[in-house]
Amino acid sequence: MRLLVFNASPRGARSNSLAIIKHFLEGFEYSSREKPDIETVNLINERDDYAALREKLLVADRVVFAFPLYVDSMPGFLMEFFETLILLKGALSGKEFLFSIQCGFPETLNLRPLERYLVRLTGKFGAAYAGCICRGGMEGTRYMPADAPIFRKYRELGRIYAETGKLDPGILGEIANPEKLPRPVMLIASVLGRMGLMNGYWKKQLKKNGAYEKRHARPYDPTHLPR
Amino acid sequence: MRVTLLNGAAPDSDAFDSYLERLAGNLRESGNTVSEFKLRDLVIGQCIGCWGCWTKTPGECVFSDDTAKIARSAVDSDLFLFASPLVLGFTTSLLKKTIDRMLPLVHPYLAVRAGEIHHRKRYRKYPLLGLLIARESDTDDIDISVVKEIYERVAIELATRLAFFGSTERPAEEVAHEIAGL
Repeated sequence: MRLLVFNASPRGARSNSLAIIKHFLEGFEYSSREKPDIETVNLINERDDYAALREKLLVADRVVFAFPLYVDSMPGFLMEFFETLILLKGALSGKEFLFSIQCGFPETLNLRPLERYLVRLTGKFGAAYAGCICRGGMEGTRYMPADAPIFRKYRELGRIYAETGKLDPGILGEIANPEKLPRPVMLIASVLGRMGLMNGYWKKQLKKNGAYEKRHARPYDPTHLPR
Repeated sequence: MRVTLLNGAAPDSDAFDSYLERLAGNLRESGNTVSEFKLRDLVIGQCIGCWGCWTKTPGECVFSDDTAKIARSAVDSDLFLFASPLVLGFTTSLLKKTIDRMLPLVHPYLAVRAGEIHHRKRYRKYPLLGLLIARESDTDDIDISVVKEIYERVAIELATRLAFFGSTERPAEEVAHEIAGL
């Protein structure tokens, strides 16, 4: 069984997308009856040879696309790769596509429209849709310890996928929690946001780069008189 | 009205290009300003997710290419109109990589907007968003609702709303009239 993984994070090897899918693959490999042939491609580094990637895809049984939400859909270069797969239309039936998507926003609901698109896309390629793992609040995940509860869930999901060929709906739901933050939490977030207390990470980065004073810069503010 | 129009079509899209020419022509005739960017002729790199536009050179990408001109034009517009033929049920990668590079238009700080957590506004005023698509031979109603839903969310992200959504099946004159009335 050949499993091909496309890490389509613009950050490549240093990405949260790769950090989380690794745990899924660990669980998958652990529970596979025969040792699977798993290959991971950091798509951002292979953009000059999509033809070679299509060759790899043609001999894979299962394909995983792992990537972050990028302005509410896929990163531009992943769409570029998808467009080149039109050449393979008709040759992808029998292959299984699985997606792992995540975002920094705390609420997983941000990912659902993209998930609906990925179902459609898989159908257009004539491949079989194995499901989509969705998770919000993932910025900084690559710094988390291997025994973090969220990683355990990804490993468990991979393990069950190897055994049954299915993504367990219960674990998918746990990973997706919170789908939407409860109203009281949003009210608190709204107040904290207005007081500027939700932005510790960004303030630290801005200060580190000596850019804090310019944080509210509006370089493209129209220079002409108000209309 | 000032319109920033992004033509996201791939090379050899003559019918789409000439539709946009008619649309822009109609808009100009009725007194509107249209700044058109044919994305395939511009230098536009992929966003690498470095967040430099938020934490190193706030409001500007650390890489300089033609996206700065687009961002400047957008901020000075009433309507930011994305135009793209559908490919695999979505807008082109050319348009998508350009939108990815519009991240400097918002602030890294978070705020509650539309009842959800999003990035805070950087500018006082944002243009309305519009999306004009051309259907593929197999486009169905579900494709249309999926792409529309995604761009409604893009609009929230860019601190605005999707004020226009339409396809090139409608006459350019009619679309121009609707846009001018926004």
